[in-house]
Amino acid sequence: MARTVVIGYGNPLRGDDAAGVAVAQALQERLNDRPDVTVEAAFQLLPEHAALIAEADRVLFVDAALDGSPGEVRSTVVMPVTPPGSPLTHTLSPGQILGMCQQLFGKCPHATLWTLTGWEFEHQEGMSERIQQAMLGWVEQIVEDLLHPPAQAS
Amino acid sequence: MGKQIMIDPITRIEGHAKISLHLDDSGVVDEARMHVTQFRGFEKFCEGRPFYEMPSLMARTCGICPVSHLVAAAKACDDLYSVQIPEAAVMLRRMINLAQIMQSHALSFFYLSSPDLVFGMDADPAMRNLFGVHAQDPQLMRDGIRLRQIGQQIIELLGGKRIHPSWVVPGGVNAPLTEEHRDTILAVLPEAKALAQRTLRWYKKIMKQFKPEIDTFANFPSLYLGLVDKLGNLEHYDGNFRMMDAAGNIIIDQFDTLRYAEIIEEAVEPWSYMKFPYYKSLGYPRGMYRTGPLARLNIIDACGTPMADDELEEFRGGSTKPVQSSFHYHWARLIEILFAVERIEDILTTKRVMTKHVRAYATPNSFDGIGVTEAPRGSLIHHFKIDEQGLVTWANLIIATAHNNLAMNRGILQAAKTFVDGNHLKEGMLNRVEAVIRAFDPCLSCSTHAAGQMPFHVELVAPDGELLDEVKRGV
Repeated sequence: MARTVVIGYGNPLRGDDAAGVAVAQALQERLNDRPDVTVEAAFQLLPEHAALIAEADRVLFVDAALDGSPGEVRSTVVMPVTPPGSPLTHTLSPGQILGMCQQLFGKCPHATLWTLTGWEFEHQEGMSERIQQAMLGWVEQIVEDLLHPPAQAS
Repeated sequence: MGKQIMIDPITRIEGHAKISLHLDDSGVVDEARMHVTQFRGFEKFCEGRPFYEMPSLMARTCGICPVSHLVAAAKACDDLYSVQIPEAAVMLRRMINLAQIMQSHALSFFYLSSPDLVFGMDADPAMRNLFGVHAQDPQLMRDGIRLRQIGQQIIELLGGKRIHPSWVVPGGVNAPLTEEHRDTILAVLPEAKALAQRTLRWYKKIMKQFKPEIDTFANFPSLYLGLVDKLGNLEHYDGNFRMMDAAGNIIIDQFDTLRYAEIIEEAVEPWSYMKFPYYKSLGYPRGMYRTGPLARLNIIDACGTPMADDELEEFRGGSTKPVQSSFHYHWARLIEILFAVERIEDILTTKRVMTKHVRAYATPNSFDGIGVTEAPRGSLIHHFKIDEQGLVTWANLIIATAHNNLAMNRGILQAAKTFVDGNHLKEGMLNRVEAVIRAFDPCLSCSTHAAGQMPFHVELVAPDGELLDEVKRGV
């Protein structure tokens, strides 16, 4: 059985940055009966995520975006970054996680990054109403992608 | 007037700090200071908040060891209630604290310090980092990632989430353990044990290459402080204080943690936001002591689990005196990971841990509450005073890392005097000074979600302002 991992990430104390986490929480409820799908909510990407995705066939990274027009949805195929990049950082990108997975486990899954550009990223708990509205459609697109992946990802 | 070298920031630690090295006129290191440059203010801004918020509020002190703050603050609230919490709650709190020690020690050893151990202190910084270890020794890094993952998984299974769980509450925990979660945790423990043992074997092999560092990384006589259980064994959740002197004599034993203020005083220096706790009887700074894994293994009679006890015997090498070199914090950390796995297994195989009664309910019966636990980096003290409405009027937090502040400062001076040639700087010299700090694994706050580059730029400036030498990385 093909295995898919979804990692929704962001900081719930930075307004719309919480969107990735909110999507993960929504998917955890909707896909509760799907043993082939693992959904993870996280503040940020960590080295442990490389181990989490190592046995998967596909991974979806879900994140709020700063760039682009507010409300804009994008899905991009992500390639592993090898070597995984600068060590002088506190952050890891999806490409770096894939690169770490490749380097440590000798394989990495097909990966897609889903982003939704947010409106407000100030220090605050709770997302803007606009992104909450936009998220309704975004979640459906991600679920559709999960259930009917494109040919190159399946 | 002498020169000054700044190492700013210190890299591969949790939080923000810098080191200044003061040279005399001949370029020899005369003084060294670690400046903690961030300010949190938790003691102040919890004033006026309801006491029952303290566990979740204090957990926000840190993103790496939130569970320790959660547990210490909850214990302080138990003390405000003046209740004895249910036995199962004690076991569950103990277990989540051990899981956190496991994941935090793994982070320190594998993510932050292993680059120095794998490549050596003088290696090219472009390689001497987490990704370099991936390429050089993927097995070691896989083991580290997996150990941390298992620790985090146990925290999540118990507490509901990995970071800032709210499961530990005043009076106990808010839900009992399920059979499903117990079995899931039990299933991963044999793997965790095997990984910890493999890493211990690796460390004991490579540490022979680090004799100069072992000899000079905060390797000096000091006192050691930590919790012990009633038998004098390793204890991370409850117990009483024990203090040992440099000769191995126990000078304080089974000392009630609620009386901490009788033995610990805090000094303040104008050049750091971190306080300097010291042993009151010896005064400041003579009362320097160390806490954390090295101190814990020094003060105990035994770990109390078979595999960790075997390792402890080897760690002590047959000596009755404490292990003095802070380089061996790394070793002690690995032994504690093994201990944590064994102890969690012990707890999960008792029937009592499954008891559904896991919380005591009460209202405050005291205006003063103290909670003490062992965090990954040492003894953690939370002390709150409340008014009749249950609002916090005063708070004192003595964070594990702060206990080691005096020793860290003396440690960087020792290493700098040995390795740093002020007339011709090399990156490896300064990395050794940083590595002393890494050995202690200070947690200077860690809750920041810092983004971007962490550059390293050291300038050697003459008294007249002339730039004599500089070392850069990532700038």
